[in-house]
Amino acid sequence: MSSWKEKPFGFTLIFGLVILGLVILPFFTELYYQTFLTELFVWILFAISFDLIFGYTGLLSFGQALFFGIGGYTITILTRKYGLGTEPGLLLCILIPMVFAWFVGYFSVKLTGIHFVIITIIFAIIANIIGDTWTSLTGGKDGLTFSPRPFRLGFFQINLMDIKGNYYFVLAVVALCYLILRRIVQSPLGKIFVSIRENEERARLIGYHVQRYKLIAFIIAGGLSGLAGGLYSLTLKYAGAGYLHWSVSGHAVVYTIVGGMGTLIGPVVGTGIILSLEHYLVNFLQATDLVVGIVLVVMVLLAPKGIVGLIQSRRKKGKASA
Amino acid sequence: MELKRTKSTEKGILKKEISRRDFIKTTAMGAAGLGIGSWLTVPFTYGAEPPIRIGMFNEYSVFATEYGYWMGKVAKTAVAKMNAEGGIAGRKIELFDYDTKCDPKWAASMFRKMVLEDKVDMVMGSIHSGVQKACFPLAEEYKVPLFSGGAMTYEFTGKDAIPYYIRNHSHARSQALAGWKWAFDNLGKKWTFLNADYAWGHSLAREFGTLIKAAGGKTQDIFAPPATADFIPYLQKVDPDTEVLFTAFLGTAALGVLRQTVEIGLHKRLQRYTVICCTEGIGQEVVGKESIGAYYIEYHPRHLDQVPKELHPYEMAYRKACGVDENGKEIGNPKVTIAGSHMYSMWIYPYQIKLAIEQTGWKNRNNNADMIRAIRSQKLKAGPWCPIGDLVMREQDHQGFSDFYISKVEPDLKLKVIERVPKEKVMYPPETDLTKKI
Repeated sequence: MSSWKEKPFGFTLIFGLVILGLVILPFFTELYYQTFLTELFVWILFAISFDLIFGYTGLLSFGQALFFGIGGYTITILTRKYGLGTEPGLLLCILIPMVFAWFVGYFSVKLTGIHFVIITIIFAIIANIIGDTWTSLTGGKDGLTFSPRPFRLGFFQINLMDIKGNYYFVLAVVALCYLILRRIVQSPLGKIFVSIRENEERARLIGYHVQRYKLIAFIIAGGLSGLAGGLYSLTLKYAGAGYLHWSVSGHAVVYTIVGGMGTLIGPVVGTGIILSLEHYLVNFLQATDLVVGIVLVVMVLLAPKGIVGLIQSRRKKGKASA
Repeated sequence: MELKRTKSTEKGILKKEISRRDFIKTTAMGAAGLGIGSWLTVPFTYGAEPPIRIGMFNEYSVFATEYGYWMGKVAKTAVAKMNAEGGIAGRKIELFDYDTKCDPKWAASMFRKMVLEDKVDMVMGSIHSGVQKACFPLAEEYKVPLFSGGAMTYEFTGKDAIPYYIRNHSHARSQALAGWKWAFDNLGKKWTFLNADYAWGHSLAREFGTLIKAAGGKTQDIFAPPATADFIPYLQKVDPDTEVLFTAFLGTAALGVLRQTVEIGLHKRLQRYTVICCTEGIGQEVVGKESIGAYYIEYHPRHLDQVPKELHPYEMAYRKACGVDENGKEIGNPKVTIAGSHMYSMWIYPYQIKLAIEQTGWKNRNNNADMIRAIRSQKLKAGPWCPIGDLVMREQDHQGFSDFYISKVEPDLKLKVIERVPKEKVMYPPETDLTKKI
């Protein structure tokens, strides 16, 4: 018997039900939960974009914060200083980080292992320093605030200053990105990414230009991370140099490891669990990061493939014994 | 062995069978008992209006925790005292306290949580200017006043001011206006700024530098990374004819720069000058003997005997309530030094809120605009709730003004006040007019 993953109808049904649930949820929840879920969607997008480069291609990049931050600054600066609308602004939130990802990736993907990790951290640190010190452009440590313009698509218009409007808008964009990423990882291109992760030498011997494919994955992930940054800025109406700090990439690493890397649903689950845990715990204690750290350690020790990986391996074992 | 839940086992455990009537009777009696008990223990009148909810966030982790500790402690003390005295307009005050983690993203989330989930009526705290800036759009969106804990970016009550932001403490511009003239006349006319290479350091260099140059003085700017450990390469760049070396760093870098000026003998040929923010919450004994002879701008004296005599009764009561001794140490924990030039803001805000609520008849968040209008026009006299002396709020930009102090580190490591700068000298023309917006 095949799993729901292999059944397009099964996925469509579950995905549709989840989206439907999220669409009707605002009618039954308070505004705070709508803002919380909006932030959750943004971090899900950031985590699944990171999963493409880490979980599917095997590159542990701490440079995703760079693209997240650039995306955030792109929409903020273009709206605030040049009066650009949200639609072209969001498009540039993808394109500009993609250009930066191409530049960073050009140097980074030639390296492997710890050297790749370090060079991506260095690029993020450089960007963070520039963000901190180029005050006239970035607002420095204080950052920049702005008022998002409505999103217009023909006669259709969404007021992004409205909490519910912003919720639906971010949900729609993130859901669309999830479907696009799912299509990518299931396509032959996605299989090449996985083959590079599994055995880079073999992929090269088969005839694939490994560096080129790594760069492609890096650019796609960079563009989506930029979009996540842009959506985050639209939600908070703020962008700051802190977005560029390499530790922001750490969020995606944690969410992906906890949920399960190499499965798009894994980062979704990981983001949901960690953020919900943080927002619940903050009512009782200040040191929420400590608990998140403990969860991470436990997950790495007990379920190195994450929650989804654990469930999948249990199901496989069950089938094998049946 | 698994215990099956059956009627007989329940009977066994409880010794007797429970009928539906027994259950309803017992539950009703319990509920009535609890209701009467809670009514008797409530300190406020039964049927009183709901509590006034104040949100607070401070830096309790990551960085600047010595500020966060004192800001939080003082605010909690002030609210407890106010509640003990009958609350505000007969209503109890509830404080909701969160950590900013020094992260604007997280702090903005907490601001939303406080406003939308905890239903706070206003928010106060944080010395992190990035945190405050990130909350500006939210404060405007929800029309919730944001009271600055200690953010020093002067533009927040200048060109970037928003109607829902209130600041009763100093900032980079008022510090420069308070500190430049006395030092220019008494310490020297050729200044070098060796400051942290980020917004705060640049802001201080710019504000002081503009005044020094306008008065015919000479300035040199050197910026070093905020976490610099070795200052020798930077100190070697200091112009040989420099008379005043102004430094602005936080944390260990603030201690390092003072120590290394002594190591290379710079302290013998120039005067060292800084703002108390650099070593706030850090005992002078930790800074070390290398700080002897250095000058500080304080916004409220650390040592009780340096506080102006007429403020002593208020200051003593304020210190006693907050658990602070005459040397600015925490009572029972002398290793902890107060953030005395900053924490007073959190003592005064609850009082400002109280006055505004009682003056306007404020009921809930819908009346926040009235509260803002009342607070921005307040002129507080020195008293138990305003131990720093008179505090004047300015209507146009929501900025507060109070006296400043210039102190020198004595051989016994005490910060001795040598000049009191009246608030009138630090009042600059407002750069905005918020009265047109709210």
